[in-house]
This record gives sequence, structure tokens and C-alpha cells, in this order.
Amino acid sequence: MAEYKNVIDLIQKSDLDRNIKKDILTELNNRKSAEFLSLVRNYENLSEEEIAKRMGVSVDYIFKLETSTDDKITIQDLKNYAKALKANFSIQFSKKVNLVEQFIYHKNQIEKISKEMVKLVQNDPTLDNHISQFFHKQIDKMFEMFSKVTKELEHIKIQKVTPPKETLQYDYSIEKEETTEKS
Amino acid sequence: MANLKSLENILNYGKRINEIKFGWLHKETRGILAITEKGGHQEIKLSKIKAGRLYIYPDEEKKILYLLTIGDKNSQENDIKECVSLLNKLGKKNG
Repeated sequence: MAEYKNVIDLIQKSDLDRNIKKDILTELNNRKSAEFLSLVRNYENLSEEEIAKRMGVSVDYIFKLETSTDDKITIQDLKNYAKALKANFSIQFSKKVNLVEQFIYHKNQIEKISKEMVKLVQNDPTLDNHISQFFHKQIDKMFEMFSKVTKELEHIKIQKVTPPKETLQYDYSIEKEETTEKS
Repeated sequence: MANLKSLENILNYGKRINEIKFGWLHKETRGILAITEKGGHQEIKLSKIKAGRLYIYPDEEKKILYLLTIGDKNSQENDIKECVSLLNKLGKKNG
């Protein structure tokens, strides 16, 4: 009995003609959007029939959509699918960012969401207590998180700067000898 | 293969077989599943392979997907018998 790590591994190790294998792998690699759609639908526990009904399309349309290659799926398809799942739809272009840029991005996002929450209170003062409590909790959690990270950093610093014990003793003995000589 | 990969993808995300909803996934006896080829069939056109049914058995405990046999609608009865025989050899008593 042959064993494979995954479907891609199975295809790669199959006896199929090299060109056919290449075509199948290329096609599978170009089905990321379709795979994503079927994944989120299953996570929402919806059948193809249910989502077809919500989208006002036939079940065959959903079958086709969920097995299409990326170049066959339109933005409108994705928007309709997201709407049927009651999910937000957005297209994002992002350059590769370093850790500091990622940190700043998320900090700005938190700031943006926090302001939206404040607006919620302006519209509905009864939410004031809940949101205040939420903020206080988050401040505590963030403080805890930064304290932990800072401690970890300090620990690394100490490990790096502090020479091994043996070296310390060695240095000490030299200093002692020099002092003795001087005196 | 595309359908098999979609199934693999969802199982890797922790979904249980009985929660998965795919029109091309059919439950047979003893926990055997048949993957049919509804949807886009581009790869069939590419490979000139006759449209068929892939029989699999998911061992959810061990996270192993057994590929048992491949057939078509006409050979369905014999294919399932073959799958059951393979499961017996593998020591998979309960489906």
C-alpha cells in the first residue's frame, strides 16, 4: 500500500504522463478561490442547495463555481457568494511588510475600531458601561502582553551580555594578579 | 482530483466528515465515501480519463484518507464490494 502526504504528493508520484501531471497540478493550484468558497460554505454549515437559494442561482451554478479555476470566477461571483454567506467582501492588495510595519498597521486598525466603538456609544449611551469595561479589560491584557514580551527581551539581553561563569572567574584572577603586581 | 483536494482541504481545517456538505460526496456502506465528478471537469478533458467515482475511506482518528478504488456508475456494485473487502483486510470493522 502506497502512502502519500497529500493529494499533490499523490499526483506527483503517480504514473501519469508528465505533461498531464503538470496540467493537473497547475489547474489545482489555480483553484484557490473555489477551494476557499467551498471551505467557508462548509464552515457556515450550508449545503450547495442552500447557498444557491440565497444567491438566487441554480445548484449547478454553485457546483461549477466551487470547482472553477481562478480565472473563471468573477468579482461579482465572489461578492454574491459573500453576501449569501452574510460575510464582508473586500479586495486587498498588500505589499510584503516587515514586522514593525505589521505592528503599526495593526495598532492603527485597533485605533480605528476603537473609534468606531466610541461612536457606537455616542449613538447608544446604554452601551457605555459595556464598552468601557471592554476597553479596560483590553488595556490590562495589552499591558500584560507587553510586560511579558519586555521580560523575554530582557532575559535574552542578559543571556547575551552576561559572560559564562568560568570567564568571569578567569577575568577576576587576571585582575587580581595585575593588582598584586602593581602593589 | 479537484474534489478530492477540496475534501482534503476541509478535513485539514478540522471539519468532521458528517458535517461536510458537498453534492459530489456520497455516503456508501461502512463509512465508505464516493467522490463523483460534478462541477467543472477541466482536468478530465485534460487527461482524457473517463468520468468516474473515487471510493475513499476516511479514518478520522488517525487522520488518514484511504483511497480504495476507482470506478464508474456501471461498476458501482462491484466497486463497493471491493472496497468492503479492502476495509476488512485493513481491519476497519466499523464504518
